[in-house]
Amino acid sequence: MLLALLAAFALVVVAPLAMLITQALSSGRGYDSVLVSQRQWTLLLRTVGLASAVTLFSSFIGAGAAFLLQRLSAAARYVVAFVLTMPLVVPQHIMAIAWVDVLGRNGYLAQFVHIALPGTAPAPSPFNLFGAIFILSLTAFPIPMIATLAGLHRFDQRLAEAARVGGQHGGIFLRIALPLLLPAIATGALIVFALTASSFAVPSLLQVTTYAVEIHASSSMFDYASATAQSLPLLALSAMVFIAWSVYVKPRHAWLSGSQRSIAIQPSPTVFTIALLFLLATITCIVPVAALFVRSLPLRTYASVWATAHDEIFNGIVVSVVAASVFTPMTFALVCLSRQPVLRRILNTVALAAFILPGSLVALGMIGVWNRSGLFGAVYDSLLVLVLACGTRFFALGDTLFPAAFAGHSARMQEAAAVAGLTWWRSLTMIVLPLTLPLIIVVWVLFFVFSLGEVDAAVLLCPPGQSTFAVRLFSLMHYGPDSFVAALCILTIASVGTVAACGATAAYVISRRVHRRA
Amino acid sequence: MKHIVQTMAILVVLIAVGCGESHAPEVVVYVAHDEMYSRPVLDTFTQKTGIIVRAVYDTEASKTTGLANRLIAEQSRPRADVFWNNEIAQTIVLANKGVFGPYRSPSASAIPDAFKDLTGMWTGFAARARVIIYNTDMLTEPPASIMDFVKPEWRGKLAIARPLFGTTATHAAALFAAWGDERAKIFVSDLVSNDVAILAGNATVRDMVASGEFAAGLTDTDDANGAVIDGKPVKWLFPDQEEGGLGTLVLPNTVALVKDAPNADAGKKLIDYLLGPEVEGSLARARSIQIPLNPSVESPPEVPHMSSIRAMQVDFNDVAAKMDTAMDFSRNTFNQ
Repeated sequence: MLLALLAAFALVVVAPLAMLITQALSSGRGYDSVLVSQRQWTLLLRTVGLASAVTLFSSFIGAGAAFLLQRLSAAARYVVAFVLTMPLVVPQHIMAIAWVDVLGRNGYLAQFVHIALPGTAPAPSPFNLFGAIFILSLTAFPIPMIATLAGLHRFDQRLAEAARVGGQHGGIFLRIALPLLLPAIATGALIVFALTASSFAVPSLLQVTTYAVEIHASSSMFDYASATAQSLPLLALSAMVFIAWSVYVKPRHAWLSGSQRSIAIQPSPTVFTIALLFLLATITCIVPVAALFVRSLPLRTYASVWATAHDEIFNGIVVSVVAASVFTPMTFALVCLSRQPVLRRILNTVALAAFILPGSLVALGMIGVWNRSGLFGAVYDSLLVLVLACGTRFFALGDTLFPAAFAGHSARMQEAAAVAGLTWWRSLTMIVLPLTLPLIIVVWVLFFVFSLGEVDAAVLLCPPGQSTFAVRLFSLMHYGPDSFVAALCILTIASVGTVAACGATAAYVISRRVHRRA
Repeated sequence: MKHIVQTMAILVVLIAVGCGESHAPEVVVYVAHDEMYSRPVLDTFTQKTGIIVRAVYDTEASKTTGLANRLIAEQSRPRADVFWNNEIAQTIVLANKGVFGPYRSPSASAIPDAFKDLTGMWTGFAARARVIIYNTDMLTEPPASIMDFVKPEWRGKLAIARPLFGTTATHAAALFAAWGDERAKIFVSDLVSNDVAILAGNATVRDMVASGEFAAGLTDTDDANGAVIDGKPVKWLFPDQEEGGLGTLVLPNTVALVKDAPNADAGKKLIDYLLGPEVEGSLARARSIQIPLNPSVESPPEVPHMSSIRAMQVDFNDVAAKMDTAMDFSRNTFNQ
């Protein structure tokens, strides 16, 4: 079975990357001429600066939000967590335009300040590195928030209870909770770093030239050799961050393992907690979503959107659900079976490379692999190619999150299972799987959300006559976030909301069962 | 293993069902023109001919480079029959890369020779033009020439799209072709010195001028007219229209038959239809006010007539030949 999974991994993830590199090398343009230019250092510094700052700020906001959410009752936590996840659902480009409306030279904020405090200096322009950091941080914070919530779900509350006996509340947080949850926060931060380093739309909008913008420029000149060459520093940078993450998180894998017994905390929401969460939800979600809703009016716009885009909405959801449902268990199985550290490292590095590379480049590699006669051609001419594209690009999500969970089980659980005479398969299905199901659902939801928003690869791979609503949304954006685009965004949110509500309900039910068993 | 085999079997069945042969004739078209305007045209073609159109549309995010890259990547096994591009230089670059096959459409007879390839690799129709859009709340005397963009009195007040994509890239290449490399490079460098904002695209230029973020900017007729229709505080004008002036760049849509197209006959019928007066007329009446190239096509009064525009006198093959030089220089100058 491991061989079958490795073959599938090779076909879905390795082959497109190998094809891309082969095409780039055969184009005749030397990598050295691209990589030795002086501008590479400027680009590298700017990309590192942007990705690091966004990672830092979004982790701070996300982890803080998760800690605050933990103080709410379980039902309230899922509802507020869903609201706070909204920035992840709306395309970053649209969120950025909405923020420019607010923060621009003549934006709502400037107009308010002009009326309230006449004579005050105008607000700084968002068209710079700081504007990009601000906007990307506010759109990326749900990722570390979700990772931290997953960590909190497994956090052994007895440690906090024990420490509380002899210490102050702040001390418990800093000395007990935070160090134990840092691996979870670091995992979310790793994903944010990779996403930001490869982000094109927002830096391009705000005039911040990063590697992703440079790669896009090379692609527009049909210069694939330069595009892939410029991806190398990006990959090296992310590899370094990944190694640092591995070194830090690996010995602390128990954060997701479920091997520790956790005790549900009694919810203790204070006015301060609720006020902070309300403020955060207002700034990051309610205001932009409300602005989108107002822009989408009148309500008959929704009828027009549905009439002209229901096929794309259906396709987008089907592709995302199938991709998440196929690749989440596949990743989990591969992680379970590939325990050799060297193999694990190779798989994770390749998956991360596909995650970081711009989707348009990955798609070009996929065309090389799949656009041929026979069964491959049939796949290429169908929506399955989009499912595969999502698998290629987002395999790293599960491949990064699952190893820690499985490693935590392997030692004690497998010993206990072996003593009890259980086969490996039965110990997996009866012990490991139930305990890690909440994490599997988290990965599934992340996979679904990322697949739903995938557009860079999709535009190069959509079969003729078919499309997803992410592609449809971006093809309509030439005329700005008008009512049609805004309505499509709201429908996206509603669709994701429906799926997330199902996922959250499942997670809640499962977590209650796991708690009862524990 | 059993589960994997079962899953694979189900997938094969799904593919087989999804790819069942359709008996109706069909044509596959890659469309870089805005979907909002191109989709009704293609629907009408289907109604008139019974030929099913399966379209792939480009996105604003990929700045029309997505489909061009796809056409190159698919050259060994083309899936498209027709490429409908919303500009011209990239089409010529693709033609030079051997992506297209020759087809001289009888519908193109009324199109002026300057807008079609003599070997039949592509044909132009329904043009846009580069315009200066300005905020009427901020300006009463807008810049009237692209040379104003490098004058000190406009420092920090003007914006253009990044000249690496779409029509702005073609405009930059046209300046290199018209002025020569040296003068064009000085102009591009002066844009940077004069703090001209480099935005993500022409639609962003329009939005930022409409919101008052910038006083004026360079964009296309379709973008500018959309803002006017929406009631934004903007107006637009053609730059460099004075006697003996440089003129503005007029950029036609282009259509081309893909080499070794799977449905070449249906593709030729679609090309014939797109180049006909009906399509030019409908695109002129749309919000994007595409300017008809066929002189006999009637258009609404708000759509400028080709004869009323002082257009830049450049050979589009020269413009395409300058694309690499212009984009390389722009990338090094603007992407600092």
